[in-house]
Amino acid sequence: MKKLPNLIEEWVREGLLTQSQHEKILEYEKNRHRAGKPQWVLYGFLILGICIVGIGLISLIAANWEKIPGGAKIAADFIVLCAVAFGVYMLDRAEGGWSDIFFDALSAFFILLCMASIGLVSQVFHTGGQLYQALLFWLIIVLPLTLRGKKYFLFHLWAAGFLTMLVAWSSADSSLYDQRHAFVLFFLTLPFFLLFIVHLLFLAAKTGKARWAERFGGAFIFWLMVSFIVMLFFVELSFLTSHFEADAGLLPFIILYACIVASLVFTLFSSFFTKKEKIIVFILIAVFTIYCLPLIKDGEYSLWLNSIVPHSDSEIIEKIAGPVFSIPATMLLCMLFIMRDQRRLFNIGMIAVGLRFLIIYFQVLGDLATTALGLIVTGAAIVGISFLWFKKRSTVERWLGGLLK
Amino acid sequence: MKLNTRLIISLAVPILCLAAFVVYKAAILALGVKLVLPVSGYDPRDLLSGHYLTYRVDYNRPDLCRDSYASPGDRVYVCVRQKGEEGVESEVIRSLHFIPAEGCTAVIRGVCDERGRFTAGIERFYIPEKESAMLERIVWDRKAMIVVKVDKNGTAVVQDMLFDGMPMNEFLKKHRNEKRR
Repeated sequence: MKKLPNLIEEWVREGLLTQSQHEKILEYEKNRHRAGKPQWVLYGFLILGICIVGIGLISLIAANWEKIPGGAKIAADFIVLCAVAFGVYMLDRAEGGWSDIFFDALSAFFILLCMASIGLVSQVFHTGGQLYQALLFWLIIVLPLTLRGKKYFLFHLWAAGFLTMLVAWSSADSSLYDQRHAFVLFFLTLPFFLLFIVHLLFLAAKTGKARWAERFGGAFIFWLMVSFIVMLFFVELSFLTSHFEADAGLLPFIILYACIVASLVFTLFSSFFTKKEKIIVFILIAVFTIYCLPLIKDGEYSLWLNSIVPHSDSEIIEKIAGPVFSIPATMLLCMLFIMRDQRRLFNIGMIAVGLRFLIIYFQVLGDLATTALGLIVTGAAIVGISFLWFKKRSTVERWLGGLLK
Repeated sequence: MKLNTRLIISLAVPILCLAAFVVYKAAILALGVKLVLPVSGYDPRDLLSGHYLTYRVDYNRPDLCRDSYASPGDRVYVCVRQKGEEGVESEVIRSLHFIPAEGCTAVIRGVCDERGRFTAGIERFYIPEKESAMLERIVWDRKAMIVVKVDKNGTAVVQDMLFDGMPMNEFLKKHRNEKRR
């Protein structure tokens, strides 16, 4: 908004707009901001407050009030659940500018209350079972209400719950996974699994019959990007300490590659990505597959390397293999963020790259002086490349465009 | 005024599912066969996970999973015979389907996990946070038992935990009174 008046004045000077158009645009933008800002701020604060109250409720139940009989606690819980449900229903019927915001906020509270209720029932009946089972049950029962969300928060809440459930599942004792590798494999699989889900949701949205699908897709894209950054850095770091062995079992890898193939096929045929974006996604998947092959084939990089170059320094290679994969992959991802105009994610990606550079120097180079020198050289190289990129951007884009035609 | 049926269903689904879960558990507690099973702690020493005790149920058969030749994740049925208030005898019935066995006080359904331990969803008991350390000690001293109810399909639900032979609330009351004196 700050830059808009200057821009419009420039357009008037250049004869692109008349003086009356200039005034009308400014008036329109002023009104739009006046109407939009309080709603946006209110939505943010309401959701924050509701989440804190919801988490407080879960903690209150976890405190286990043994002096109150279990039956009384459950009865009180159901009364509150019914009262909040009634409130949600009444807000849906209410008219007025802010009713949608209040509807979403109270629905979020109801959804969190359902989670607290599962905790309470588990406590009263001393149920066993894993966290992921409770989360899965919660996600299933609150899905119908989530789909009726009027803005984005309910979809984000569900998507975040879904990811938490998957994380809990991958780290739980399960016959499906070898526990030691489950976490790493899970994060490798997750972005591709989410990409597949995003494609499915946007496919559903295209039919025009599922209005919720686009919002759900939007929430999943956000979490997909976050999970990709997490996958690139934290997983490749844990690869260095957790070598894969034959007992990891085939099934996790089958799931992983099924997800990759599914996301490849959908990326190829979906209209969700532009042609340029598709190429970046394909390169990302290829880089990822090349990175994982030695791990899957030999369990660790040193074995793979020794089979190609005998007597090579496996320790250094193991330290370098991760960043050689993750830094270019994140840079590619950042290019995708620029193309899709996702500036915050671009900034997060760039910070992650910077941090990874720092970690390499601490890992590979021993003393502080060498680390400092390495960092200065790398930093200067990044500044130089960025400068060149912004100077020659249009030339590079023209060249890329020529390649894509 | 027209009713928004879809929204009513969306709000009713979670409430009804939770209610069904409560009714199911309460029915087992009301109608199930009662068993009193001894419990013990196990290594790694992680009895206190949050606000509950986790323990191993003593079926008086140390290698229950090995005896049943069960792989991790396999469903296993255990025939439990109650011998007085404290002792139990158990026998493994490994089958894909539930077979009511004669001479059993109850048959408990569970699975063998990756560590070769039989679990039936009764290995957790919620306790008050302030008393957790003291209650954990009693489990380690093997002076704790669980009271479970088992339905005819083999599903078990924990009804109470006995510490020194007393239900938890009674035991805590006595303990607090002694402390005050």
